[in-house]
Amino acid sequence: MKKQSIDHTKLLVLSLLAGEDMYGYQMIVELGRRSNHTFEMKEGTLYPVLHGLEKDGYVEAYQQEAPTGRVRKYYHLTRKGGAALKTEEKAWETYSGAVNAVLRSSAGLNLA
Amino acid sequence: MEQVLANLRRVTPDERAAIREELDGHIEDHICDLLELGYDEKLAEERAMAAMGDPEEVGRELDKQYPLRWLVFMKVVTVLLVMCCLAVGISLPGLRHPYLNLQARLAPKSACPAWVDHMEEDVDIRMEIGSDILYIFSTATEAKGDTAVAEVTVFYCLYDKDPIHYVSDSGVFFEDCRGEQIYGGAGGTSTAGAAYWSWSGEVLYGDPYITAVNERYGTRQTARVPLVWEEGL
Repeated sequence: MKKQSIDHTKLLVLSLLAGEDMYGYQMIVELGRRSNHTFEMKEGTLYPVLHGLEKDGYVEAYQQEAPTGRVRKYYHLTRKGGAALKTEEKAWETYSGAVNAVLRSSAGLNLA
Repeated sequence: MEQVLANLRRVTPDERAAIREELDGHIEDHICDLLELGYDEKLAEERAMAAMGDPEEVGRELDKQYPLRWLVFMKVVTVLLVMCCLAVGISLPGLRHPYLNLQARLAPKSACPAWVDHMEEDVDIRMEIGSDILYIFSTATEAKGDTAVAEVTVFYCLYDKDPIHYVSDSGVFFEDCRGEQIYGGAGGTSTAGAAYWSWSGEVLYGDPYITAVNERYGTRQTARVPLVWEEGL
């Protein structure tokens, strides 16, 4: 099950970057906001995911100066990342569909 | 932060610095947000640090994202460069001298490969001669037909006790087990770092030893060299 949670994080990160380039802390804030604080991961664990995606070529990083004058590392979704996002989305639909099917088949549950 | 960085073993120094900068920036951004919400500085810092999670886990997971390939490649290149520098270095006069001295102490046979096939018995007999060391490292014996006379060969080297000092002439001679000087012949090679000699002389077949003698500094110094004979002659 731990492997599934790592894959889900990758899917969430790629989804966030599909909309716009972001830096690490921004992704954490946005993830919490969009999921109504359902997804609130340990923030440090985002960075192994980001660096892994960068090494695999799904995202690329660049530096940009923040209003405070400090340099921030922004991440951008690559074409390869976009294709991987589509694959991860399909895999998630299959997985979540299977979970829902099992739950639906349990007696007494009424899932919308 | 130090706990995170302590678990990064595969990264280069530049990558380590970049990771530190990125994580520092993240914590700083979080602290700013908490300060805007009215947290005091100390609490904001504590909350921001706690929100990052277990630093050891973060460090370990980050480290896994960096391939070993380049690090191993760089280390191999570094080792090869060091070896090249050493190889060039020991060819330079200043460094070759101590190298020859150490070679004589530790692996004298490697300095005289042409003699190795003639060596029969390995020995380790060392005698101080002033500031030098006489090191007898091998012997050979050979019967001469049906006569009682046999030939003995002693392989030895000389090196200074101090690796950076020059070796002197030994002035060594050999006596048989009856105390008679053996008049033989010697040949060898000599550099400033070490001198190698192959000395041969006649003894009686079966003599149990000969004695290396030095009387150079006014005192008589000796070292017994055991002889091994092939049986059945």
